[in-house]
Amino acid sequence: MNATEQRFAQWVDEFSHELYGYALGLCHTRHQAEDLVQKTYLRAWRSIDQPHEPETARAWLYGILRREHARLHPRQRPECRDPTHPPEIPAPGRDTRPEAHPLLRQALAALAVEYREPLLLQVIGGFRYDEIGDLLGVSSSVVMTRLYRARQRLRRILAPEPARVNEQ
Amino acid sequence: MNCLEFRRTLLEDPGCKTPPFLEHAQQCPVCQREYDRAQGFEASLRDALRVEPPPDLAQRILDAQHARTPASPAPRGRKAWAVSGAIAATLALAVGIAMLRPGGSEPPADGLEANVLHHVQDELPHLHEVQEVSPQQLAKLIESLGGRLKQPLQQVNFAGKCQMRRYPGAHLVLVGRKGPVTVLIMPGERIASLRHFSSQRFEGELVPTDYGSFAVIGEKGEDTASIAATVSRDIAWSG
Repeated sequence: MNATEQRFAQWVDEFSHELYGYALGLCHTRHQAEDLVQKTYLRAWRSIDQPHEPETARAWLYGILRREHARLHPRQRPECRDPTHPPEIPAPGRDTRPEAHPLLRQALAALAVEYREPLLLQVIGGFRYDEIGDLLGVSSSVVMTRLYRARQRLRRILAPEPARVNEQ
Repeated sequence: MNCLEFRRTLLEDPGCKTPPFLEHAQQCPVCQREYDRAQGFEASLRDALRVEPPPDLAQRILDAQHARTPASPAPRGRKAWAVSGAIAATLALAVGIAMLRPGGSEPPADGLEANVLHHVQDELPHLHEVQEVSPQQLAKLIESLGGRLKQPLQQVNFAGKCQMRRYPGAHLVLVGRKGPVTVLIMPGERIASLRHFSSQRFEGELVPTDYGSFAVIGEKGEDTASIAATVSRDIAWSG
């Protein structure tokens, strides 16, 4: 295995886990998520001669995955999905019991993608506002607004009682 | 930082570590409670989003990389690209000829075999799916393409529509003797006669039909001819 192949294998080892989580959050079903992650890495391999610092490779892979998803999304046909299987977002996690976080999972699945996506990038990817903005092609302030609304909506679904604010 | 600013930041970035944010949390009991509640919510969110990929996913990625790429990545620069493009074209031609060995003769000019093999390679995850497709689901899929399922195919683990070159078709994965077997139903893809083809890993049959053709692709040594006979028998076409 040469140095480039070693670098690629290291990226697979380090990032395929979280990329799968991100893919699952975007496309809802496990087989689509697996497909998306595999296509992401194949595209990455084709461009692996481009210079990438270790710290930017991760964001680069997220960007590829996001573009692949956007490219594949119009081709997704509802009839391809098994109608007896509801969306799997975000499918089996560390706690794979069906009853684990069911409301939260449903609430996440119900979020509009413009709110869900920055949330996935922040929670799964740990990206900063500016990094999320770069990936989504929006400003940091837009990212902040979307994150605010995403959590607000999730909490509203899960805990309808709004907390009162006593301004100091 | 006042309470409203604190609450806004808490929803934007609950992990915020800036001094004004943390100081406000310490000084305001109401916001401190809200902060604690938010941390609990974030823990649940992280837990719900923490997913385990299939154990073999990383290996499948590496296998695909080894299978699909030349020994070294392409060199950079216009001239280098031109050179590498010429090399790649030559390699592709050589690999294509090597991959397609229909009974020792030259590969047919329409390249359907190569498309079929690429399609299977592109959709490798489907080989490992176990959806237990019902006869009703399969019948509906075949009907949507203008066909009719005369009797249920046995052990169908995946069924979905797909695009084969210019025409919509169906992608099925059945259980064969040596592992998963892909069946691609390809209305509109007309061929003159039965063809056998193989690659390093797969071998298969292209079968002419009234509506176009279908392909059966399995691991080397699979009894694809027998499965092709079953598909011919069980699927009829009206269009």
